[in-house]
Amino acid sequence: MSRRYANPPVVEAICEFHLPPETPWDLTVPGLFYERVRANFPHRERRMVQDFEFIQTPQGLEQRIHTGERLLLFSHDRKRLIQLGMRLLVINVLKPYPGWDEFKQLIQQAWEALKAVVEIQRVTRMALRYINRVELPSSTASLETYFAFYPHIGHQLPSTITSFIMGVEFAFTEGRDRCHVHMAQAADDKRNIMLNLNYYLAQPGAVSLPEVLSWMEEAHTRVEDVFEGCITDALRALFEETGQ
Amino acid sequence: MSTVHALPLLEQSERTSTSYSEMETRESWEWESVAGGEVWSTFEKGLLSYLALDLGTQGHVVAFLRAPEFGNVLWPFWSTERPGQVYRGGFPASSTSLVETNESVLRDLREQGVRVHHPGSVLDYLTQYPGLVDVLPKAVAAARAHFPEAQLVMDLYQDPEIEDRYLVLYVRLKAYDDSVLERLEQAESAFIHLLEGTEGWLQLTTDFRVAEDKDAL
Repeated sequence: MSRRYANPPVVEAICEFHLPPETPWDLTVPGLFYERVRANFPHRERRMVQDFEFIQTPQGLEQRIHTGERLLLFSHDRKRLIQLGMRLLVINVLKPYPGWDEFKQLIQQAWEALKAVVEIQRVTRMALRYINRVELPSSTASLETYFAFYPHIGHQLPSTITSFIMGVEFAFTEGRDRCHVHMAQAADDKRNIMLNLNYYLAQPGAVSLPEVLSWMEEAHTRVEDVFEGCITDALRALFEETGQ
Repeated sequence: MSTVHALPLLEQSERTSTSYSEMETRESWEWESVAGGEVWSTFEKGLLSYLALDLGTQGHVVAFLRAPEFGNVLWPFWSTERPGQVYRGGFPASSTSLVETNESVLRDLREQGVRVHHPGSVLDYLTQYPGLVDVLPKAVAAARAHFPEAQLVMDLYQDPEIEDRYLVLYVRLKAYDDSVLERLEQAESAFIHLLEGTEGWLQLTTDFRVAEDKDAL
């Protein structure tokens, strides 16, 4: 049973689906997809994105830069959005986090809409990400008071730290899945700690199409467990735990 | 920059290509150790290897890619200054996270000497109107080009009486003359067309305050 907080630190939750290169995709897909979700995501915007790629050719290594378009579809209140790129589906929810049940419904709605307009054979990668902004009482607050996951600084190292970043990756389900936990100071205020959890499918195609949504459910449970493992009761008190 | 003592051997992969954008979201690499101001690790089964290096004096960590075919040139592609974004030579790939992207934008603004007031409010506005992220660098560049002597201040304007708010980039000078408004118009013309079709607004203006000594020339 998951814990509930009156003041949760989630500032963004993200669900990603990456499709393999053989997935048929043409210029009609964004429009067809939009028609299926426009009732809840009426506001359309477009962004240009760049991807880099290195390709091994008989002549050697080639570097390619792709410029593509990503469609952003916002809900009425602009607190939820769907991003649709080339063989990429992303569902974002912003603070205040609506809770897993509502987020899961959005994921399902977007996933079903995409399956209706694109013939999908498999998923190369999926991810469930939570970006948390933790506001500590002061910039001198001791990390170990609030976190069970923090950088250990040896006694022989300087005591003045201007910034830090820490990342650890955990394996789940015999290496099929991984969870990357990342901690760093926020850009806007050094009292704020960014704690990002990224649970992803590490083995392309290891989850069959009918199991995709149950994988998400499993991913959410694991992310919750890892998150709770990263924090202490002192931080739970700051989040104002309201029960389970 | 810290000295690179040893580079990991390149692992030849069965795969024929690997993309930065995949690495960005896959995050299949780990920080292995932090010792003596140097951090490094290798990319798993990539066509390229990478090296993560602590730039101790600058207070942040940068990861580099290495390709023997290119004479072992090291390309920076990720930095704690821009977490969540993969880049080469300041050319960012796009993150799927609005929050991570905006955190990176805020760091970029500060690196360029832009003072950001109420950064939390600025971040919230950018998250609501992410299209402005593409406009901001061009607005700052235009302001710098037409007011090289200015102090630039970014803030979120909120009308106290009606529901109206937008980003403001203030130009502050040590002294104002008759050319200021004309120069503002010229600078604005360099980016205002990018706001067409973009939700949200960015206004370049001045509040005629005198630039503080610390930043102004």
